[in-house]
Amino acid sequence: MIRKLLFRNFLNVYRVSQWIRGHFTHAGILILTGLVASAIFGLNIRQTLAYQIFLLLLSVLLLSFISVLVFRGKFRFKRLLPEYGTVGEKVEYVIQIDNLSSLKFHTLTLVDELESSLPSLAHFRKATDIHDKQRNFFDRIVGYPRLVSLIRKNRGGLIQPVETGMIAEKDMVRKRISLIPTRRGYVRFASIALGKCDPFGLFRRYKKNELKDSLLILPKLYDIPPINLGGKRKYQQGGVNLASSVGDSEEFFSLRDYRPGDPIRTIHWRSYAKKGTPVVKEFHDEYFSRLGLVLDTWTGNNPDIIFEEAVSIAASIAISNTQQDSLMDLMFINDQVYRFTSGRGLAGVNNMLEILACVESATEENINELETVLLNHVADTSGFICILLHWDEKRRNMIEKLRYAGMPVFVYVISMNTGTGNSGTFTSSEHADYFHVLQAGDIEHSLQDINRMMS
Amino acid sequence: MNAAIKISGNVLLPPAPPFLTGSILMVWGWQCDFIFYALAMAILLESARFFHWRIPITDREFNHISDLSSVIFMLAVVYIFATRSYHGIFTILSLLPLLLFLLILAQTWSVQGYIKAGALFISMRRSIPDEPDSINSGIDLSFPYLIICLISASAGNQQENLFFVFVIILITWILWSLRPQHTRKFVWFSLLLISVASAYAGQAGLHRLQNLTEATFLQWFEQYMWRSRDPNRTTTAIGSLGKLKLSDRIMVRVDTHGEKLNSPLYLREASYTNYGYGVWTNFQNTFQLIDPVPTGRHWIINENITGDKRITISFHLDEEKAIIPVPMGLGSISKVNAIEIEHSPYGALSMELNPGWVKYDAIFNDSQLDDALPGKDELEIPPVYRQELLELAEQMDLESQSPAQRVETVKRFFADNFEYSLTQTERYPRGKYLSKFIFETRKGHCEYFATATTLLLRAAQVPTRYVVGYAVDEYSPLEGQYIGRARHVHSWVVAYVDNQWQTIDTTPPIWSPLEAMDRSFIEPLVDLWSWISYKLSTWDSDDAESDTTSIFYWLLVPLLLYFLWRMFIRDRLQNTQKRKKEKQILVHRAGMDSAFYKLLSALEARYVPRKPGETLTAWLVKLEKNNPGADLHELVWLHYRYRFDPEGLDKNEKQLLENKVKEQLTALH
Repeated sequence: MIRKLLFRNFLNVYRVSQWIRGHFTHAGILILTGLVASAIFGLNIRQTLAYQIFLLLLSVLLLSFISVLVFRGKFRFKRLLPEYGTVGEKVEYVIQIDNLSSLKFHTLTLVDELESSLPSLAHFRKATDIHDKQRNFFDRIVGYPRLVSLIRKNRGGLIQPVETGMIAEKDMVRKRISLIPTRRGYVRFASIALGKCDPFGLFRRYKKNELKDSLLILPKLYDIPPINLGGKRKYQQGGVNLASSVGDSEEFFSLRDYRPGDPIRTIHWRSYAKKGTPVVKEFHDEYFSRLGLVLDTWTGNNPDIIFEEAVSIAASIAISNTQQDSLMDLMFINDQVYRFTSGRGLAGVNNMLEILACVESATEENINELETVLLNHVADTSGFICILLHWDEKRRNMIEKLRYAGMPVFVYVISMNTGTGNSGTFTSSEHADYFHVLQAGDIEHSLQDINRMMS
Repeated sequence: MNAAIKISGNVLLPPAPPFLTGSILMVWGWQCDFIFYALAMAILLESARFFHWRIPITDREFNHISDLSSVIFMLAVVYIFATRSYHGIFTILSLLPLLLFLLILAQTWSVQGYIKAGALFISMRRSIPDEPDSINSGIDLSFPYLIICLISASAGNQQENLFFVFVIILITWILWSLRPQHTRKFVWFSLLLISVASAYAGQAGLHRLQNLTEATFLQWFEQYMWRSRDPNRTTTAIGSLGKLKLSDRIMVRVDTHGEKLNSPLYLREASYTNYGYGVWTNFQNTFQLIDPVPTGRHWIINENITGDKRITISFHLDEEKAIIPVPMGLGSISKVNAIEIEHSPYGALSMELNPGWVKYDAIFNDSQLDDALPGKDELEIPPVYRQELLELAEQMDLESQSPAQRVETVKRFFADNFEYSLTQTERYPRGKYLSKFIFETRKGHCEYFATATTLLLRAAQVPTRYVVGYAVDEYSPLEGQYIGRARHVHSWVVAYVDNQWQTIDTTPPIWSPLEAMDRSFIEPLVDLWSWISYKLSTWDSDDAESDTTSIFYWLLVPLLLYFLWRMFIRDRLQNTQKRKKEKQILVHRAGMDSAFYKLLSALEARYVPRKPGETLTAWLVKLEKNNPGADLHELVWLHYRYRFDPEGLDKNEKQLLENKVKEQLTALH
């Protein structure tokens, strides 16, 4: 009940503070603070003379507000966005402003706004913030900084307003804007606003233009140590037609008599001339290594951050797969089984990153289905890299079964703390070569440890 | 962000321009009497401009300095609140530039010249990577400090007009240094001029607003809280500007049993001993429980009082336990069903009873006051007025007179030189209102007179106390008794002369008629209503002497009859009418007048009766099986359309339906 009330008030406080931050300059905020303070102390005009300060500041602020009531001018905007961005890395793009009016403008403030909706109480309750433990006790209990951080995350990115400089009449200017994405997936742009400051430099009025766009933000990437699974090249049913474009393999194997249906292209003309009957070339079936990148999607009661980190790890592995002649299958289950293959002229890494940018956590436990899928693919897969969100009995069994089937397996378990898992401790020091626990929120350190251990 | 603010990269505000800080500090020093401190502080801050030497201070050290400033501030707050209670808030305000000086000094002489926001707010100390830069950026404290100094200077309250001039100059200076570069000077100055003009005009408006608010608040206060007199503390309206407006509401009724009052009857609520800034206090009040005499309903308050004056007082109790007005020199209280009665040696009487109108008899002798003997407090004069009053006492040559003569001289002094007035038009610095009253304006209401008399007599070494209560002298022919209204709330003095307390009232007797002039023209009506409600609420109290009570019972009869009629008969009547209407609408709307119903009953009588819930068509199918000749489907179709189709049937179709029904009916018979 109190939480609910607090939460509602927090949202209001957030709205008001956003409005103030957007509409007042820093000088304006200073004057506004002075106004509030003088109002408090000047309440009884017989006690202090603060009411004089209050009146002067009030009239200054009112006039600065009134002086920008009218903001004439017509603008057209265009966003020139890059193809992708990556979480946490600054993305720079350009906004083109066309001044359609015959008015000259001095410094205007350009604000690019992202679509954002305020979170619900349930969402706020469930959301955990890894930075929360860095905050002080009061902030943690009250939770306002957590809410602000959640809103920022939902919005998808941070964009600082920029100054346009002078815009001449009928002129066009381009401004470079930087966006710091805070989450993967699509960041949606809602509108562009131009703010005009009053002569005192305290208050801004905005002219807003709706302009929708979106930008795909790829997951955060880590520097993953090379994974050497040492698996065999496997026979790939269907040959390279699975791996590259349609058609047969190029590797010559033998000659044989023509059978109806063989493509004319494969006829070995010289032998045909010698023999008098058509002879065709036969090609070798394909053998190559194929890695399965398995992503566990069921977070259960764990915070979302674990899943986010798992996605980041998966993306980092996908991008660090330097074996050009191998294929990589990204496998996960969410409502249905997904298996995307990349490498050897098939979809590129970028496509896989795109998929990872949009993957969502599953709502139901699906480890049994995942196990079945993996076991079905044992025949054509050289090895599995599994990124798990828990380390429980079921997952342990799955890994054991894969290993029993002679499959090289490499396991990353993402956990809130490296000491204990969700069901007991991680007891795999003897399997240090293929089993690693990564701490959510501090993946870099965990990876460094692994690197050190391996070297 | 405007161009001027971008100077130091990631710092939120620019540094203050040269000498602005010094100037504001000097204004603060002048206003708050810290001129030497202000001078030293200004030199320390401004001299940094002439030296290149700076101290390297790390963020961590800034955090420590900020923490130290907070601790100093908290200690000051605790100390000042402990010694001066909430009045200390303005002392703290005036000390703020001094309390925060360490921080601004460190910033001014530091290498970087600004501090991180984290130094000020502990919650920002741990930088969080994905938070926007503005949170982790630095802030130059010069401008915030300037604003603090300016507001702090306003607590000094010295020279109203001169201070306003300084405020204009300093705020103009601040705004000028914060203005955007591209602003045209002409526009900027014009806007500023308008701001200053409107602020100046606003002052008068604000004064009026405050008076209005106070008057409203006072009235509200009086209406709801007045009667709960606090025996420890009373706030006077000394220093309030404008006209003191008190309501005509009847607060107390006094039945003198036929006796006529020649002078006002003083009903005391409480006495106070210490004065300071418009507030009278008495923290020595100790209430003693009085036991009723064994015969019941009679409490002897003071056995020493020998008198036989008897009055009956009616007073409205808002709370279960409250201070009630009693005559001076009270001997005993009787004829009241009080749960508990407590008495203070300072004359206040507290009664515990069910809230509502309470009626009690008081036996008293107003020429024989038996209050607690005077102590040190009864000669105490607040330091602000001490010197002036001692000088005045000397001028009046009070010292050479006997105590009784002194009282007479003081009474004459007020009677000859002072006027009664409910209006105060001029504004004075805090703590000078009373001096202005005594030495300059010589106009005021009873609180001024009583307070000034109390303090002046103390200056003449006569122990005195300040008394509040009602001065009742208005006779109501309607009620046949005396009434005391809210505007009859009065204050007077008791002085200890020749080992005897005596009542002194220096307020010119004109006060009562003067205040009555303000009464509302609907007052008689309000009085009548007040009397009726008083009578209604006391009808069950023990009032054998009154014969008017029975009339009220009879007055209630028509009221009761009306309510009975309203509750039972009217509602029922209306309900029946409503139902009737609804019924008509229902029949009409449903199209139940279809001719088919006649046929239906005939068919049912002839063949199989329709089962409850059985549809018409299903029933017809059954019917046709038994009676293959009858083709009723078209008829039913028409009927259904008449019943349920929103468009209904047109004239011809309706006719057709009726004809077909007739046909079938004739066929049946």
